[in-house]
Amino acid sequence: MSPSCLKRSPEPAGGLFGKRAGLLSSGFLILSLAGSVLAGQGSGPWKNPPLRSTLDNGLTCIFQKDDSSELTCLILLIRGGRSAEPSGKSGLAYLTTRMAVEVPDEGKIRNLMVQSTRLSVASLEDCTLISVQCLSGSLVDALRIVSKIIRAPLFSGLRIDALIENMRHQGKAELDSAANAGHAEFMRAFFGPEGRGGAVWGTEEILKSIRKNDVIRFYETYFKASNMVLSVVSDLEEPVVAAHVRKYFGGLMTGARTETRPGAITVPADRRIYREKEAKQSYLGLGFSLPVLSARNYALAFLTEDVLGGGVGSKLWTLRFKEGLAYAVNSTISYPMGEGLLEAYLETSPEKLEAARSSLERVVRELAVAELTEEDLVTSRNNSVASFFRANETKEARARTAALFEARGLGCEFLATFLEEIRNVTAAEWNAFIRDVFKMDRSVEVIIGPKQE
Amino acid sequence: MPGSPAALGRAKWYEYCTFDGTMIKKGLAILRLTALFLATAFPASPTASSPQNAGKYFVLDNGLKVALYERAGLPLINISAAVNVGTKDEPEGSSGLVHLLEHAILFRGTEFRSGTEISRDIRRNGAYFNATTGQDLAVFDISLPSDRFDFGLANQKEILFNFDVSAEELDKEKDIILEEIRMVRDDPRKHAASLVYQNLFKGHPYRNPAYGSAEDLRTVTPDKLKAFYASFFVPGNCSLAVVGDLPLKDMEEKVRAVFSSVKASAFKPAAFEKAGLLEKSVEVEEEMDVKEAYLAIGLIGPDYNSPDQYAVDLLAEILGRGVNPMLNSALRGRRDLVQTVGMNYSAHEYGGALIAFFTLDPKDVPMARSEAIAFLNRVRDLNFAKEDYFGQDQLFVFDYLKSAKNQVRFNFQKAQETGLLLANSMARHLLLFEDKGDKESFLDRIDRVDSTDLRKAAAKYLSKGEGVVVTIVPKKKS
Repeated sequence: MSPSCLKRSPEPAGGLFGKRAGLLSSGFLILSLAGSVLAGQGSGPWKNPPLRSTLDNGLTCIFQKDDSSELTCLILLIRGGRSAEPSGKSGLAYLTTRMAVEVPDEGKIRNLMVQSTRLSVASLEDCTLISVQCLSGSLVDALRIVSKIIRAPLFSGLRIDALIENMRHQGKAELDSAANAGHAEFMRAFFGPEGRGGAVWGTEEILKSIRKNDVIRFYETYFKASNMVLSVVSDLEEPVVAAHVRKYFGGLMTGARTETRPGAITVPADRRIYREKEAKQSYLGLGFSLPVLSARNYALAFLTEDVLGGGVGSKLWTLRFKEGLAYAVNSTISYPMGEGLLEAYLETSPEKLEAARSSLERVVRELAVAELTEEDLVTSRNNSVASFFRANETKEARARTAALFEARGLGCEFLATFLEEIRNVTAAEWNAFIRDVFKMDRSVEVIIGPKQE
Repeated sequence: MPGSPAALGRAKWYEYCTFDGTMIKKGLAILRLTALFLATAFPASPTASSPQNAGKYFVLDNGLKVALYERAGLPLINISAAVNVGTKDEPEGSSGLVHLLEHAILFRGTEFRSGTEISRDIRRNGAYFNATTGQDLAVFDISLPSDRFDFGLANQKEILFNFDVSAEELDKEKDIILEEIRMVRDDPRKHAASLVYQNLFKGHPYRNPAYGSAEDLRTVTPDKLKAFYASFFVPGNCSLAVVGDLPLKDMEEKVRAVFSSVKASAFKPAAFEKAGLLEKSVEVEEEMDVKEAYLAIGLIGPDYNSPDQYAVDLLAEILGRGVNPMLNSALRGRRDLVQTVGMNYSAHEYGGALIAFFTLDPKDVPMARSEAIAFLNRVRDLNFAKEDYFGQDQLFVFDYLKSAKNQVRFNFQKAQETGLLLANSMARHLLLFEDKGDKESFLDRIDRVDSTDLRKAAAKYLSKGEGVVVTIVPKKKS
């Protein structure tokens, strides 16, 4: 594909990723608003801003220059994910995406191996991700091999069967962890047993029903350039990466984007889920739905997650520090397209389970009516921003976050404007959000552990 | 942790062909690699800056070893303090003493602040605050916004050198550790790794599990803990590493201002025997309420300063990591005996551990176990590089050695991306590294390893001694 096929950005930066995605205009604002964490920064929190452009085939591309290592990390996000799985086909999104990077040619596998290029795949609620990480000097070979197989994967029955067998085992191993099993229960309770809430790996029964044609249909529907986001973080110069991206991803399948609409959350009638497991500890979690994803709601949820279970000194910390109920107390948010999920959880001895249930509920109830102050907000803001930086410090994590922000409508520039969004939250707005989220009559409790009396 | 990638959807990455199950030990391996990278960034002389002016190393008058590394980028500062005290130092009948001390130091107060006040201050300053206990060292980490550097330094100094705890507070922390022990016991991977260590180092000071034993922990009193603390937490037995986006000059001024006032105290660290190869194999099988089976095979490896470490690093890559490691081909490729494969090498001051880790269908455990052991025994006879073949054969063979060297390079680069990891690694390195005056860099040493070195290392560590085999299998239905 020739460079002239590109929709060039009006910005004069040159190369594919010329457009600064609004960062320049907001740079000063970010500096002035983001508080202590940003003090001393010359051009926003990241040394180089993420740049966005679009290939002629509709592929959205993001690039960020980062000299912290001589590695290049590339994330290819394919919209759809578990939401796009047809009824009775849980696991199809993972299977198809994994098949799309299964290199049939042993010589090419050896090439990737010699260069230490790493490939991995993840299946999320609303998209799947292919991660390619390599020494920057090996980028061309990595892209040549990976892009070729993604464009024309080999879907043979034998290969699909082998992968399904592996998925069957991976699914079991995943659920051997109580925390993973707890999260899966929450997903199923709020999002339903299929689609967003479906099992990443499928189930034994469902996997038996998946056929080669299902894989081909899924691939043809979702693996189109317009349905994808390519996010690259590299120490290489932008024009170099841009040329490679054009060459190797310009040939991805064209066609209109396939929209998948996230279903609304329904709180189940039975809001107490118990799964028996012989173990030394019981997993205990409380789950709450989050309002439809937006920049502001993401910032509010992030702050809420922090004040509830964000490590030392958070509200849940009391359960560990003062009450000795658990070693690990935590809260996490999952925010795909549409509504999200907030989980607060811990693992405790069976004899402490009732006390833990009562304390966990008490902490959430108290937070819901706490009327947090401006000082609380400043504290959570500082914690959240520092956590966000640490969580996105590696190239792979940042490429992934940028791709997800882009695909979920927040834009890759949200990597920086997130700080602005957090800064703009007021205490009154935060308290209203917390009251709205922590409604006990809409919560779901999950317990996984030894049989209860 | 807020802000973790989970905030956008909790999805784990699944490696293309292999999955490394022993994350704890993998972490240690990465830490060592990071430290070796940083060692190359520092000058040999304790008083000069590196050519790039990125790093500086010096020793305070009180004996505290300090490494500073300027890393422009995010407005974060990362501080790690390491203390030369680990499970190796625990007296008989005190398994878990160092771990309890580490917890109490972090959260239960000092001469000047209560645990509640410390928690409050940590939160107010936007800090990530944690610590780890290992066989050799206890390491205390704090990562916070750069403009809170003063607080970070003062906090670390106070918790390390002004520790105090009441009986009531100590009892609360014991309760939490007992929960931690139960949590590890429920995790098949962590539990298997812990069993490997306990059996691999039986009779050696590394024998105690880092988490400790519930029985021993109950007997620890504040006086006993404080007496133990006083004998190890002196500046001459500690190191401090700072990595962040402040100028070196500022870092040094502040570190000197805060830590120079800590009084020096005479200290002579104990020396221990190196761990020897296992003379008799050990088999452990446990049942848990799990759906898959977990198999771990442990062998003694070279220590932190051994010249063999480079070959063993590469062997671990060749056997169990990357896109299609040898163990994967041997057990999964044709016979489908295992579902995931991993291999880790952790180097400690007085010995190392090599652990191969597999997840598999419970019915395949006996066959996979014997095939894996037989394969590890055969490694000493294998070819690894094109140079091991002649003529046209070279065109058709896979160069495992070249691949492993590139994987080490990859890991080396990857480790540079995380500030706290760098600080933690450097603090460890300052206490574990024996300076023998060799100026060759880590990567140069890796580059020098050839197939013969790999076979020699395999013969010495994979074939010579006996191993520990741990299997975790699903509970039989009654």
